[in-house]
Amino acid sequence: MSGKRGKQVKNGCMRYLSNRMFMLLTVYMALTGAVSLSALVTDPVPGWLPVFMLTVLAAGIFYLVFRVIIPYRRGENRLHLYMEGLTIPRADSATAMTPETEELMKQMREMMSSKQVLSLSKRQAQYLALQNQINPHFLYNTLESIRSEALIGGLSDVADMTEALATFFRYTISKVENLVSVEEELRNCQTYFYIQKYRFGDRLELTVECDPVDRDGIYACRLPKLTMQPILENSIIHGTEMKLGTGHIVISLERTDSRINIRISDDGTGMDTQTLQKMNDDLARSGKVLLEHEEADNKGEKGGIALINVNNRIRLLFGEQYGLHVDSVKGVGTDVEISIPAVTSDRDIRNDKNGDK
Amino acid sequence: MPVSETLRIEHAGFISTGGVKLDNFSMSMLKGEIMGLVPVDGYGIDALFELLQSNPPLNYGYVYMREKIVNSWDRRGNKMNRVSIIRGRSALAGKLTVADNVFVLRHGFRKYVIRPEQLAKQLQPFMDEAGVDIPADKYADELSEYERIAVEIIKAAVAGSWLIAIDEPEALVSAADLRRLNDMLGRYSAQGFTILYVSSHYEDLVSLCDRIAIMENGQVIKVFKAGDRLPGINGLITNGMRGYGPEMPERIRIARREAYSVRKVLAFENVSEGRIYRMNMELAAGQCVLINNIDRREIACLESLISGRIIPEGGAVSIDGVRLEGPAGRKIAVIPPEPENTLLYPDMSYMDNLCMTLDERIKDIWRNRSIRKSLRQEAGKTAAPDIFDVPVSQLSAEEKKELVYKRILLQRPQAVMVIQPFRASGITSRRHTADLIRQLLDKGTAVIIVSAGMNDAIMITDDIVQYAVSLQ
Repeated sequence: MSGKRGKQVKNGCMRYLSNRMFMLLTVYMALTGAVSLSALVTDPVPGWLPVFMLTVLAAGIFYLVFRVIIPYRRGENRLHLYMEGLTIPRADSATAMTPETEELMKQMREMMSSKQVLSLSKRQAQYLALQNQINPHFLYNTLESIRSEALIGGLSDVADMTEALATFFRYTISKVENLVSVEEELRNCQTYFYIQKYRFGDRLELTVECDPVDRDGIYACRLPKLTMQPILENSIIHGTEMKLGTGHIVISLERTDSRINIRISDDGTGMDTQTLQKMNDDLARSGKVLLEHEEADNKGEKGGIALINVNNRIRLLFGEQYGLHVDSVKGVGTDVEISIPAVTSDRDIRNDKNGDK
Repeated sequence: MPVSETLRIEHAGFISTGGVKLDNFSMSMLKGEIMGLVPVDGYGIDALFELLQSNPPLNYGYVYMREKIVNSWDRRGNKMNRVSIIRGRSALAGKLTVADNVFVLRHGFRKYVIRPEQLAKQLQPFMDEAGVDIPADKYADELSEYERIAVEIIKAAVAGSWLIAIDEPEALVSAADLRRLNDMLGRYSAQGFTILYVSSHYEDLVSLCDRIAIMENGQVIKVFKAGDRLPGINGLITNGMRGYGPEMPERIRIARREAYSVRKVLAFENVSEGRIYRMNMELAAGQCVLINNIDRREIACLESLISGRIIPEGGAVSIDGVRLEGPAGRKIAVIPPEPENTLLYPDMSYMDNLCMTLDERIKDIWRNRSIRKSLRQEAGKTAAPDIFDVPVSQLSAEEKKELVYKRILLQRPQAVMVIQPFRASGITSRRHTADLIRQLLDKGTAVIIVSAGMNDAIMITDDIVQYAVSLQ
C-alpha cells in the first residue's frame, strides 16, 4: 500500500469538514435526545446528569473549535491568499469541505501545474527562436560565416563579438534543459556582459564575488535556466544605462547550509519607495501578475515582466519559500536577491513544493 | 564551509493593532554577523521585535531561524524564539543580583539550593570573556545603564540566544560606554553570536557592522555592506532629517538668547542629593541645555529635585528666583522617554487630554465651556479640526507626541525637563521631536534635555553640561 493511500485510510472520512460537522451534530443530537428521555423517565434527575452534560458540551466545543473552526479559518485564509495571487491552491484537510471541493482544488492545481506555467514562462523567457521558427543551425552558421569574414578582413573585435553572440544564442536557444548549474548561468551572464561592453565600453563594470572556499559547491548547484541573465539585463538597461559615469554591477554568490543566495547589485538610478513596494508586491503574487500580463499582452499592451517571470519559475520549481526580492533606493542603486535551495542534483528537486516543508 | 543562516524573514506581512506594521519585509542574517538596522521613520520596529521573539500570526510570509521554519502565514509558530532583545527598559529583575539574573532566571535552571559564591565563580569567566567587571552580588537596580546592558548581553549569551537584538544603545549610554559596549558585541560576534543593532546613526554603524539595512515604512529598502561606498548614501540617510540636520542658524540662536537671557528661570546652586554632588546650573528663559553623560539613577534624582518632590540635602533649587521648598506644580514639566505611551489617557479625547494640565493657569477650564471652545479654536489653527473628539488611543504615535508637547505649550511652565527625547524613534520622528522642542523654546520656556548620548540633541541646544559622578 502506498504511503499516500495509507494516509487516506488513516484519516478516513473525518478529513472533510462537512463530515466532521455532520458527526458533531449527530452525536450532539443523539446525546441530547438520550439525556432528555432519561430525564423524563427518571425521577428525580440523577446527580451525575448535569456533570455529564457539561462534559459533553465542553468536548463538543473543543471539537468544534479545533477540528472545525480553526481548519476552516485556515482554509479560508489560504483561499484568500490564492485570490490575491500569493499562493497556489492546495488540497488538504484544512481546505477540503467535501470530497467534491477537494477534487475541485486538485483540478485547479493541475490547471496551474508547473508544466503549463513553466511552458508559459519559458515562452516569455525568450525562447524566441522556437516561437519564430528560426532554425538555430542556420543562425549559428550565419554567425560563424560573419566571424570568418571578420577575421579575414582583420576585424578581430567584430569576430569576437560575433563569437560571443553565437555562444549566447547557443545557450539561450539550443540548451533545452530547465535546470542548469550556477556556473553555466554565470558564464552566460559574463558572455552577455561581454556583448554589452561593446556598447557601453568603460561605462560598465562587472564584478563577481564569491568565497573561494565555497566556489565549487556554489557553482555545482542547480537553478532554472535564464535566471540571472534577465536580472543582469535589467540592471544594465534600467539601472546603469541612464546613469552618468561608470556603472558598477556586482554579482555576489553566497551559500548557507540550505540555500544559495545570489545578489545582483547595481549603483544605478534606483527606484522610489512606491515603485519598489509595487515591485515586491508583484513578486509576492507573481502567478497572478503573470496571468494579468498575459491578458494585457493579448490586448497589445506591453510591459516589463522579466523579474516576475524568473520569480515565478523559481517558485514553481522549488516552492513558495524561494524566489526574488528587490531592495532599492532612488539615486543609490538596486539589489535583486535570488534565493534558491542548495541542490546539486535535479532528482533532489521535488515536484510538489508548495510550501509544505 | 557554507555559513549558517541565523535568521531569514521572507516577504513577511504583519498586521497588528493600528494597521499594517510590516509589509513585504525580507531580511536575512548569517551566524556571527552584526547587522545594523537604520529605521528611517521608526515604523515597524516594535513589530519586528515581536516577530523575532514571539512568532505572532502572519498575514503572509515565512520566518526561519537557524534554517528551520518557525513561523509562516500557513502555520503559526507556537514557541518563543531564542531571541534576546535589549531595549531602554530593563529586562532584569531589579531585586535580584547580577548572578541570579544571569543563572537563576535562565530556562532550564534546575537547582533547588542556590549558592551565591558558586554562581559568582561561574559568572567570572563570562565577565572576563565580555571584558566587563561587575560584582556578581550587585543588585540589578543598582546597575548603571551600561552595566545593565552588559549584564543583559551576558545573560543572552549564557542562555545561548540565537540572536541578540539591541535597540538604540547610543541613547542610553555615554559615548565612552558605547565604545566599550561595541567592543563587547564585537567579541560576541566573533564567537558566533548574531547581533541585530538598531540605530538611527548610520555613520556609527559603518565601523561596527558587517551589513547595514535601511528600513522605511515597515520594509527593508536597501542593504549595504560595510565596505560599500555608494554615492547617495549620505543623501538617503539625511533626507529623512531635512530641516533637522542643519543646525539652527546662529543669528536666530543669538536673538533668542538676547530676548530671554535677562530672566533666570531655573537655578541649581551647589545642589547635593544622592549621587548628585554640588551641581551648579542656571537657565534663562528660552535657553536649552543638554545634560549629557548621565545615568538613569541620576536622572531619577534630578527629576525629583527639579519637580520639588525632594528637597536637596545641600544647596538649593530656585524657580524664578524663589527657592523651591515643595512640589513645583505646573511651573515645571517633565517629559519622560516615549511620552506618548505614558503621559496621555488613551480612553479620553484629544481635547480632554489637551486641557489636563491647565487647571492652574485657567481655574474654570472644566466648568466653563466657552473657554474650552475658544481653546479649541485656537488649537485648531495648528491641528486638524476633526481630531479634538477622537480618543487618544486612535491617534498615531506622532499625533500623540504632538499632543503632549501642545499640552505643555498651553501649560506654559517655566522650565521643562525632557528625558531622552530621541530614544527609540526613527530619523523622521527625531526631526519631529526636535521641532516640538524648538516650539517650547520659542515660547520662552527653558528646556533641559537629559540624554546619555548627544548626537541628536546637539542640534538644538545652546549649552552642554557634561555630567560626571563625583566621589563624595
